[in-house]
This record gives sequence, structure tokens and C-alpha cells, in this order.
Amino acid sequence: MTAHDELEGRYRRLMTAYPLRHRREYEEEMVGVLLAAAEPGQRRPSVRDRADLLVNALAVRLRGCAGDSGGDAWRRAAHAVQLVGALLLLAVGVRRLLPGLTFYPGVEPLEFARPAAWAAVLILASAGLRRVATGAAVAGAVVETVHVAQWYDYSPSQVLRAGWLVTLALVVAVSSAWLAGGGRVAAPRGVWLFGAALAVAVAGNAADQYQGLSIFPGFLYRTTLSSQFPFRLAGPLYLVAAALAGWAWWRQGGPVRRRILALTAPVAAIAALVTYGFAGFMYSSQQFPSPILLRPFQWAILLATPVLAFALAAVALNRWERLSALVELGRRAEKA
Amino acid sequence: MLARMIDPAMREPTFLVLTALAAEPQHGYAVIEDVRRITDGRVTLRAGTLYAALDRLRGDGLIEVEREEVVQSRLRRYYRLTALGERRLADESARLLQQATVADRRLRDRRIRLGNAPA
Repeated sequence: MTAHDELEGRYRRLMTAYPLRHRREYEEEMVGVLLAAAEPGQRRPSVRDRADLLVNALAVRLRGCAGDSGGDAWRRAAHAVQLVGALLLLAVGVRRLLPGLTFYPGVEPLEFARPAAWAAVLILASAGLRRVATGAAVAGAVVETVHVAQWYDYSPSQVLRAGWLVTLALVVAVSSAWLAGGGRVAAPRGVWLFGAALAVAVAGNAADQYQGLSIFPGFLYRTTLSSQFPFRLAGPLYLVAAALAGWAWWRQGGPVRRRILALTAPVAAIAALVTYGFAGFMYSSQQFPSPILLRPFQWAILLATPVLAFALAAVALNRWERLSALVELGRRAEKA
Repeated sequence: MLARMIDPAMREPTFLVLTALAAEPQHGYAVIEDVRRITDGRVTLRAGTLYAALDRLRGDGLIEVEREEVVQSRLRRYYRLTALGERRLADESARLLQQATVADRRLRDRRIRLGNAPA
């Protein structure tokens, strides 16, 4: 064993004084820095390095969760979901106000409140006014819910279709409320990429309108393409939008990426549930002159699904990260 | 001494790490070297202190990871100042400057009063 290997082994033993999560986040870097600062031929950590590592390991442990970057990653993910969710809801709200894009005549006054609320969330959250942003997000979630609920008596299928939007609004409101307390969180990287993805998706939507294809929340109504359009113009645009959004998501870093997925799991779960679990209900409810209303057990499933989806995603995330840490520790033990 | 002059919430290592990152994104060892230069060799951050500070600063949103590299089979992570970190460092810097100016002026007045003003 070389002096270098011996020194590294001793530093790694000292690192065991740190909490597991801190080691997972920083051990490789710290050992690299310690070795870079070591004298040639040095076999043992200096007394000052030993003391520094042990004192700071104790400080990190005493700080408890402060040494745990998991909490930070959750807050960063929540901030990304807050901003991007508000941006998406703003785009959906604005789209409904644009002339020629509404699928029924006239615009309800309530529809002006939707984009206004989400624009306020975006501006206030970006300006760091977290409590006021939370108020705007809660107002936005209430407006989204009321806006959808007013259709229930004559079109429950429309309510189901907009279920993912309401869920997203609630996720943004809850994320905002959580971010209102505690320390400030840095702005997520590449928010403009999400914005660009959204702009390209909106362009795709406009192309669909031009070709006689209309996308309403969660569903695509297809009509026959005109013979002058041999393919769907919006296809490449949606691919570009997905690539931009995927790139922006990837740039957030592993821990934040995984937590963004967990936070948005309720939205995906509701969209999947409505598309696959309620397909029969939606088809049949549109066949009768008077709408069929949802039954209590169906409401229970709809309300429980987002909560369960988040709980399952959080448990899966936690287990996956613990397993990864154990595998990493095992790998290091083998290497040592 | 510096630590007593600034906000107790921002200790000397924290202030120095932010100052180092204000120049450009840097990895851990480069921050140690830069801090040594900034302080004319008076302060040498050790790994435990540095990473405790980096962890806290990341948690507070004052710095973030810019990129990661693997150099000679070792992870090298570059940290950079966030907009919030820049504001916080500017506030602390302005406060230090204001206090140092007052201290300097009072020392000059004192020397004049005692009749031993420098030529």
C-alpha cells in the first residue's frame, strides 16, 4: 500500500464521523481536497486536519438536518415546481382568453382571474416575496377549482378532463406555502428553458388548430386531416418542446430531478387515472341527454389518488436513495 | 477579528468563501487557495470547515453547484455565487467598509487629539 493509499484510507475513516447523507454528498470531494493539500509522502492526517474534520462532523451532526442536503433538494424542487407550474397555468389561462382559441363563445369574468393569479405568483415568487406569492397561489388554486366546479352539473366529464390542472394548481399552492417558511432557495437553473419549451408547445397547439386538431386539457380530439396536410405539423414542435423541458429538468441535478418527479407525481397520476380509469365513464356520460354525476367512491378515488401518488413517490425516492448509498458504501469498502 | 466585525450570522469562513466565489466559479481546493491569497496567507481553510460552510451556503441558497467534473478519478464540483449570494455579500461588504471607515476616521482624530498625527 502506498503512502497515498494509506492516507486516503485514514481520511475515509475520519469521514465516518459525518452523517451518512453528508458523506454521500461531499465525501469524494473532501477526500480529494484533503489529498491535494497533503505533503508528498504523508501517511497520516495532521492533527489540525483531524481536529477540523471531527469538530465540523460534530457541528454537522448537531445541526441535524442542516447537514442533510435532501431537505435542500426538496425545497429546490418545490421552487422549480412553483415557478414552472405557475408558468404553465398562466399559459393555459392566457390561451383561453385569446380570440379564436376558445371552444365556446364569449369569455367568463372568472377566466381573467386565472392568468392574473398565476402571473402574480410568478412575479412575486421571482421577487422573493414568498408569503404574498403563497397568497396568490392559494387564490389561483381556488379560482381554478371554482372555474372547473361550475361545470360539474352539466358536464362532469369536463371536470375530469381539467382534473390535472386543478391538481397542478394545488401542488403549486402547497409548494408555495411550504417555501414561505424557512430559508430562501436559489432560483432553479434554466427556468427560461421551461419557458421556451412552453412557447414551442403553444406554437404546436396553434399548428394543431390550423390543421383542425384541437387539444383540450388532457385530451386530443382528432378530426380528419385535410388532404393538403399529409402529416401533423405540430409533431416536431411538440418533440422540440419535450426536449427543451427534458433538458431543463436534467440541469437541475440528480436529487432535485428526482424530487421534481415526486412532486409532480400527483398531476401525472390524476391525468393517467382520468385517461385510463375513467375512460368508460366519460364515454357513457356523453351518450346520455342528462349528465351522469360521479359517485361517492369515484370522488374518493379521485381525491385519494394525488395524495397516494405523492406518498408512494416519496417512499420510492427515499428507498432508492438509501439503496444507492448502501451500494456506494459497499463499493468503497471493496475498494478499501 | 473580521468575524466580530461582520454579522454573527456570517462568520469569517463564510465571508471569505463568498468572496472567493465572487470572482468566478471554483472547486473546493481552488477556494482554499484563493482564500489564502485573499488574506495574504493569514487564513487557511481546512476541508472540514470549508465543506461545512459550502453545505450551509447551499442550504441558504447563496451558492450553487455550477458543474461537476471527474479529474483523475475524483469528483470535482464547481460552486458559484447565486444572485442571492451576491446581494448578501454586497451587503456584508458595504457594512464592513462603513465600519472600517468609521474606525479609520476615529483613529486619525485620536492621533490628532493626542498630537502625534502622522506626517
